[in-house]
Amino acid sequence: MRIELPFSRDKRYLTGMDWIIQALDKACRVRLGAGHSFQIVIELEGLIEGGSFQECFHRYCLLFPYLQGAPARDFNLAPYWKAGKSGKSPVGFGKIKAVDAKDAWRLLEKELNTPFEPAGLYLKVLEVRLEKVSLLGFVFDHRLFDARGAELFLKKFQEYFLTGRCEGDLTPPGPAYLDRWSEQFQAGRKMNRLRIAARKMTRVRSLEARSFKGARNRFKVKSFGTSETRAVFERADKLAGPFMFFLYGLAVAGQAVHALLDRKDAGTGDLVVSVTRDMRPAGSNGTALFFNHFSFLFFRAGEDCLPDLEVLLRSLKSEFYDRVKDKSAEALRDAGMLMRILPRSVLALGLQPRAKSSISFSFASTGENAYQAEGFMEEKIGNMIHLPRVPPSPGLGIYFSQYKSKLSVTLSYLDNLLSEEEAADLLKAISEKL
Amino acid sequence: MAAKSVEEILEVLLHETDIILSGRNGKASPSASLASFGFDSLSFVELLIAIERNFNVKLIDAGIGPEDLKTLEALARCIHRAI
Repeated sequence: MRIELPFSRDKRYLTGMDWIIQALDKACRVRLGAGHSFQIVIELEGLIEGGSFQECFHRYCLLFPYLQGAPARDFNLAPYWKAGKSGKSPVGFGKIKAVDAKDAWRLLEKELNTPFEPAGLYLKVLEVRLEKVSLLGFVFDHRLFDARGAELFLKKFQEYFLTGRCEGDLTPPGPAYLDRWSEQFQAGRKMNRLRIAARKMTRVRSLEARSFKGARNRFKVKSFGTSETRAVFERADKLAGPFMFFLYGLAVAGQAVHALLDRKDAGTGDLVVSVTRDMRPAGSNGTALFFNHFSFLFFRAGEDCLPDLEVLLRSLKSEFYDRVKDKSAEALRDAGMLMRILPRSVLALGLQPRAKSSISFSFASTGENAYQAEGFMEEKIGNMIHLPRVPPSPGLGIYFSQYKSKLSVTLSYLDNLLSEEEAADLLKAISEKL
Repeated sequence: MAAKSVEEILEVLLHETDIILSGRNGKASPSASLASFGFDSLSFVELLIAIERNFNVKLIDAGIGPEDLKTLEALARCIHRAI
């Protein structure tokens, strides 16, 4: 039966992935103190004029009633995001005083371990002024933005700053997804079968935690210069083939995590990696700024393949081909719709951090940044870096991002799983192998 | 399967590319580079799957070099050699 509801500009129905992120956010708040958020840091090669930036960004944010909204349930039980006009400011601003760049990054990291204040705020901006340069940290609540959406949001802001206009339907209404039940159930069945098969086949190797009390999300970043980035992509093309950088990055990260687990004497087994895939259509310039438009692919890196990069790449390529062919990311997205019936707190219980995760690490490669302008407001951009909080299970994430011709690797981890030295060694191993 | 000419293969590739990329970067052309169409890893593998479906050849195993991927024309010649 097809139920069609009239679209409303004030409500945007949440997809299965949105609902899972809502639950993940709750699990993070309960167990780790702060919600599921991420930060995009823009390094500017000059000092931004704070007052005019805040004024312009505040006006821009007022164009989006979602930023003052909240989750709700409709009479048909479908969860939705209720757009609002609370009168409160849709964005929080903060200034950070740092003695040097290292101190600045430490303080920006601290902000990701701090809940949004006041409650109901989904976006905050942190300004750090150093001697001749400045950093702008944009903290996004994952319930409203995914990584690509946040890049697009900043891109649209720059257009707004230059033209005073914001073009395109940026908050399009969406359906309630209360149709296509048989497809959703078939997708659910398919995912369940894949899960059972994977569990039987694989003994997963992952980090172990004694406790999550007081655990903080830490970050380590390595950015490559233009020539280094070119060299990395040339190696990726040669070893993994054209358009396969993400598999190359995944293979290198897998080998480094494998070596780390060896050093930590973490038993034997395969690595299972959850890989985030943007589900926006390829080649699209995308106006989908808000909510989550991604799904996951799961890769198994066999213990026997891990020591040899070429063998590992062959195995991952074959797996990728099969996963795309059997449309498992689409199946997971569709199956997720069935989860929307569960209360958020119940779903959150299933996403609580576990002593030993069934996933070895989380991985994403966002590719070329959607923000392509050379500057932000009137200052030249040096680099743009993603700092995503990692889901508490597995508590270890390796993320690649690229701004212009600069590649960055971000290691995101919970400090109850990995010491600072171990994290530094892991990032060094990845950077050197790339 | 009856042998197909490079031109016939190219026609299928152009059609599949337009479907996969939904014509978002304009209509695919035989001599433009694949990268300029906006292919990424996922859409590229979708194209390889379409090639397997249409020509019964699994290029991901058969091996494709960077030269074969410069343009759709070059890719059509590569498929022609493989089938």
